[in-house]
Amino acid sequence: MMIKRRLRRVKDVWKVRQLKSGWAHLFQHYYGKELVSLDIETTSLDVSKAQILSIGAVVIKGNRVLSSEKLSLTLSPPKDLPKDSVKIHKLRRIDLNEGLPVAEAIEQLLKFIGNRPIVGYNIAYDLAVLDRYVRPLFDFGMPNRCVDVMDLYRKKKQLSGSVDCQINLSFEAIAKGLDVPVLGRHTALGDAITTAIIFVRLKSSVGLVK
Amino acid sequence: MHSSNAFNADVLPFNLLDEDEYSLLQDSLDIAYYQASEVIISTGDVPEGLYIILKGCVSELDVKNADQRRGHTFVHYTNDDYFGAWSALRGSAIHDFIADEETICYILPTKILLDLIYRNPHFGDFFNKNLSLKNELLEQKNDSLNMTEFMLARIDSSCMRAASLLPHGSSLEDATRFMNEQQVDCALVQRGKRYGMVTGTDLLNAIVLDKLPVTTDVQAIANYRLITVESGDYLFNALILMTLHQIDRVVVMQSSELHGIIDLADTLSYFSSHSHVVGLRIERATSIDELKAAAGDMGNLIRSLYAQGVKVRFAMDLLAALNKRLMSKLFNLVVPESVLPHVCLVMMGSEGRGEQIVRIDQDNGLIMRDSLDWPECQKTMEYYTQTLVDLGYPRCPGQVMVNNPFWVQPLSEWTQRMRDWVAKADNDSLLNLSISIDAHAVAGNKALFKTSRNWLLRELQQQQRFLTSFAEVALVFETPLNFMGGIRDRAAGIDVKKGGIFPIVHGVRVLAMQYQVAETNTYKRIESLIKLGVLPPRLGSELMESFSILQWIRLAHHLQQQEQDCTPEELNNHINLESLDRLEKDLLRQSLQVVKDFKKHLSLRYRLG
Repeated sequence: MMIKRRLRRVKDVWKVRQLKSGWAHLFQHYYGKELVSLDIETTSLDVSKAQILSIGAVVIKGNRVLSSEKLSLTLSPPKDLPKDSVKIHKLRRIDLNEGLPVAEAIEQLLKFIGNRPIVGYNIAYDLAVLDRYVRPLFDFGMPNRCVDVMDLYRKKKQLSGSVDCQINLSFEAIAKGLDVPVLGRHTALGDAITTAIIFVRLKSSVGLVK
Repeated sequence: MHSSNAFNADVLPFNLLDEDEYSLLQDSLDIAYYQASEVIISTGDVPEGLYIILKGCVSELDVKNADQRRGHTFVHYTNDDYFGAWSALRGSAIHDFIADEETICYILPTKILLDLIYRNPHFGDFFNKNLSLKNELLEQKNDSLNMTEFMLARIDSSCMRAASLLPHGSSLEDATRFMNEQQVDCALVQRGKRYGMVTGTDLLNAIVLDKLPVTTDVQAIANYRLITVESGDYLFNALILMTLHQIDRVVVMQSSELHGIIDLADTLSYFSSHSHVVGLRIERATSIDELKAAAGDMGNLIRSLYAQGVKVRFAMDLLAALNKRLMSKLFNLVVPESVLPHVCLVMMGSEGRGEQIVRIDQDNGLIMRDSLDWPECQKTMEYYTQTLVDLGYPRCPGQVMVNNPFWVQPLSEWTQRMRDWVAKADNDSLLNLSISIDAHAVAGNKALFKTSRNWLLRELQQQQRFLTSFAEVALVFETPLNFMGGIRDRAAGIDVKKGGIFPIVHGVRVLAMQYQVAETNTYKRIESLIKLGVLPPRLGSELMESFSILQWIRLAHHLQQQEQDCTPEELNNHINLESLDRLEKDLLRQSLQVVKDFKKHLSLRYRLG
């Protein structure tokens, strides 16, 4: 999955340069110290069908989660809002009526993240869903490098001697394992902030992140 | 909208913010993660803002010497606590803040904190209230003592003078010369392990009145019954002792070693307020009219103590000492000198515990020697009661006063009656017992009282069944908290006395009885019970804190009523919740919660239904 993304990104870089697109800066190497923790709430767990309901993102710098520098977007509702998903994220059609059109939300998100690396939990899923929206609009996929806290956590556990099959990688289990309070589970911003804290927490464990 | 950010806005002072202010707060918060023993703010740094702990533990340390890294720890902060406000507002950190364990904090930038303080006066007040305390602690170092600081000042070398110890075998002449050389008015002599005190007056009396030769060993005239305080105690307590014993000096000891002497004159130079002036007026009064004038000052004193934010406990101590002096002075004026050694005036109830703030009523009784024949007793006591009423102490509605023959008894009758009450254990008996257990000797022959008290403490030891029914009384009045821990409001207001103060006082009284604690003051009883391991230290200190808060709310309420010209008889304890600000309401709620916990503790201990 990730390898495929890398290959596609090479292609995207080439394309963007050819087109002299205004988004070229997204593909420049990032030299700063910040990252962006990202989470999206969707209607389904199936990448090919999932529709985005809300997007949350927050900046991480050093040991800080800059929750004052955040993005919280609610999108206008998809035509069919599956009942099952309503139960999880508690976003009813009525809550989404005020939302942004998808294209506008995606544009805001890309501007917010810029070329900073992305941090997420099971981030491949979020990126795949986002790509489905980004590609038709701009003709490239999410360009950022990313870090998955799930991988970091697994590595940390392995270093301390756990066997893979014993490691519970659910979001709650990770938060609990690291003694990180879960803030507003199943809201995009809440999960993004929790993920950010998990990342900061894992980062300070030796030897995981350069 | 921002429910995603689980910032706990239900805790003080953040629940004082309105919706707009709250979302400004929400939008400005950052989150920081610290590893164990990481320094969050170090002294002198410019702090980023106010820190609120989401999870973890932080200590505030004083780092005095660079070599001694870990100084004195002031405070430990944990979940939902905030810290660094004072440092943020001041622009530089006053102490070190260090993470004790892995800690996640919210940070509210100083600029936003200031915005909120200016926008919302209640929120601002909260910081001011808390900060003023810190401010005082800080200023205390600068030796600029005001009244409140005096109350908090402790006995150390700055307020005492070195004790001048006379060389062994000094004669009266030597002593006089020694004291002149040292320019002191008193000196100590050592006899064996004991210290005795000799003052200029003692020397004068010995030579002029008793005509002792100047070669007499000074040991012969020294006074060995010294009144002492422990070094580190409140300076204020030394003053109370001096007022109580009518002396000018107390000796400072530290674990039975001589440390120094505190002189009344020195103390007075610290003490600019007129509370001691009141004390002196009482002291100097030679007639009832003069006493009356002194008593009039006491009302003002309470008001000024309250206005200056003196801690309730200190205010109560001070007033109790003054009340006691006044009553005893009056008693000595009223009762013939020939009778005094054969009777003992006791204060009972809240007066006996030293917990009256606004003078409520007189609760007193008289214990007499068994064979005393004193026909004028009833007449004299009637006069005493009436005079106290004139001085502004209203009559006790329950007639617990010396003009009531029921409370004027010979020692044997007094003890026999308590035995009857213990055996009977009905409502009246329990009430009478509660009143007499808190008795405290004020004037006359205190040995009479001590005999009865010691007898009672011994007697109750063997009466486990009685203690159980006695303890039950603490649960009689309901504490006005609902199931969810909120205050249950009634139209008539909340009775802080029945719902809060009484259960603490009574519960502590029962425990004190069971464990033979002779103290009568509730704070001192709690302290003794903690020392004995009867009360868990945490519950004990929470109880003292809650007791102070409840008394403070009650005092504020009474002062308010007095301003509306209520007579002392009309004062009530019904607090109207509307009249409290949010901070006070919150404190009240927490205090009542502690009362509830304490009741639970009692039910478990005495297996009450």
